[in-house]
Amino acid sequence: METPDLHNLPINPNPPSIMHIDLNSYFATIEQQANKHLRGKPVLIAAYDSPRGCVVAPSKEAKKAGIKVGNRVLEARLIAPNAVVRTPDTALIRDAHVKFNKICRDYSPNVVPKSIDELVIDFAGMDYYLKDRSLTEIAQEIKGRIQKEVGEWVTCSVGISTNRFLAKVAASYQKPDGLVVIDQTNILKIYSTMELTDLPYIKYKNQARLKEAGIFTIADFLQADAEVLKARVFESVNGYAWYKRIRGWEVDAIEFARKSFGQDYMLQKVTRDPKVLAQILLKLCEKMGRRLRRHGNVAYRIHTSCIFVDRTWWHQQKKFRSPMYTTLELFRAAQYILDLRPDEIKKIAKISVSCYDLAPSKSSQISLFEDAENKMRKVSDALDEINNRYGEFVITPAAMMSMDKTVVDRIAFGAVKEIQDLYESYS
Amino acid sequence: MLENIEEKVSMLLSYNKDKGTVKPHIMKWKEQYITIQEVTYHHLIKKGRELIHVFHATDGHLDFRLHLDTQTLHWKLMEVSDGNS
Repeated sequence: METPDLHNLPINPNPPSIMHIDLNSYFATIEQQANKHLRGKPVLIAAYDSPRGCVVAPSKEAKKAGIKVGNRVLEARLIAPNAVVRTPDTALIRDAHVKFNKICRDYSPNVVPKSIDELVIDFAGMDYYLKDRSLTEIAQEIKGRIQKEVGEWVTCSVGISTNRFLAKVAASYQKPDGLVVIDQTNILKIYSTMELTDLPYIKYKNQARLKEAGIFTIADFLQADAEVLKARVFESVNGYAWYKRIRGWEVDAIEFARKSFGQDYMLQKVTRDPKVLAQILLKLCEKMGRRLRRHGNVAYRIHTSCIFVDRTWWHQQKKFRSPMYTTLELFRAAQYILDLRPDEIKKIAKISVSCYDLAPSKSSQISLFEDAENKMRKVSDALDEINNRYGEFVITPAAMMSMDKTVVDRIAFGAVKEIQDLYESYS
Repeated sequence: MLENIEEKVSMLLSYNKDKGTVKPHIMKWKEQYITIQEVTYHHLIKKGRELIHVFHATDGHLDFRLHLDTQTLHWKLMEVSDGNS
């Protein structure tokens, strides 16, 4: 379908073909599904169940009580003293996502995960799969199948529209258990009930930019000229994208290639102890390295960052001449960068490491120390093979001994590439 | 309250050849027989080549997390919860 001229672009008049499905209060709901006696109670899934642990997912009952993502467990318990706190059951969460994805794939081959609890189904040109049924009928069927095949307690909100953005708006419009269609007949009515910040991706920074240009409502946003959005508001071609996006034209159907691998860790106990920090960094590098090698890549650049206890942030990156492949190579580089931080006496609350400038491992530049490096790579591959066969961290560097429970398994909410890895591990 | 148990238990179960499902029915734990009313969620955990079936189940009073190790065929009661803090 052709997109008309960018000036005076109308609302997309085409029939909706995009479905966005969002599992409601996912982490908490799936915990309630597995544990029947949690149902109907305010459940908090927190990174740690200690009083200072951060709530990552409140159940719908907890949300109703006023608990929000980001509250401390202590604060949440003041709001709802009967709240039940649990840490994420990562295996359960991943399994339910795979079941959710499998259901959606029965309706179209074009299913794209947007996060661990959101999927987008593109029905454009999928008449064979639709079998003369409307998208609303299919959405109802998917909702039923999720309750039958994932769990009776699991509900989802479905949004249907002409592009990914409006489908997400529609899915967020009615929660929990909603089903909303947005097309040219009702878009203005729906927009008139929403604030600017109800739109996905319009949070404080973008709202401030819009306000500066005299755009205070979604109606103002719709009236703004494409050139104004480009030159004054977003100061990039992103302004054009927004002009089209809010009118229901597709600009977000892009799949980005993987450009990096990264891991981060929020310390349960803040520290500046170099030995503890080195151990954590090593474990992060081991996890990152396993993924780098599984994808057959080497990296030339490392980025290390930390958030200190006073909430200040420091980061540094460095490009290296030799490719990094083994955990030890990645760790040495990351530790070198971490040691460059100016304030070593400040306690660290969160530590992150990522590697990028990726290249296929087989074609990476051969160094002068080829023999020694090749041997190390072979040892590294053999260790990975052992860990694949007998389980993660069966063999680890000696420095990682006695840290079984450190850097526990976590699920990144929006890490789409990690979800692709998840599908591969289940196939 | 959630309590970690990690103890082997005896299990009486059924297998349905048509549906291809296994369902735990009666668990013997600490000399008590517990009737499983419902399996609320079933999934797999892979640890290398080790494959574990995880059954979340309830007897109507408590929630249980049970592991069936496919290599040893041992059943383990991993967690018990009454659904409170």
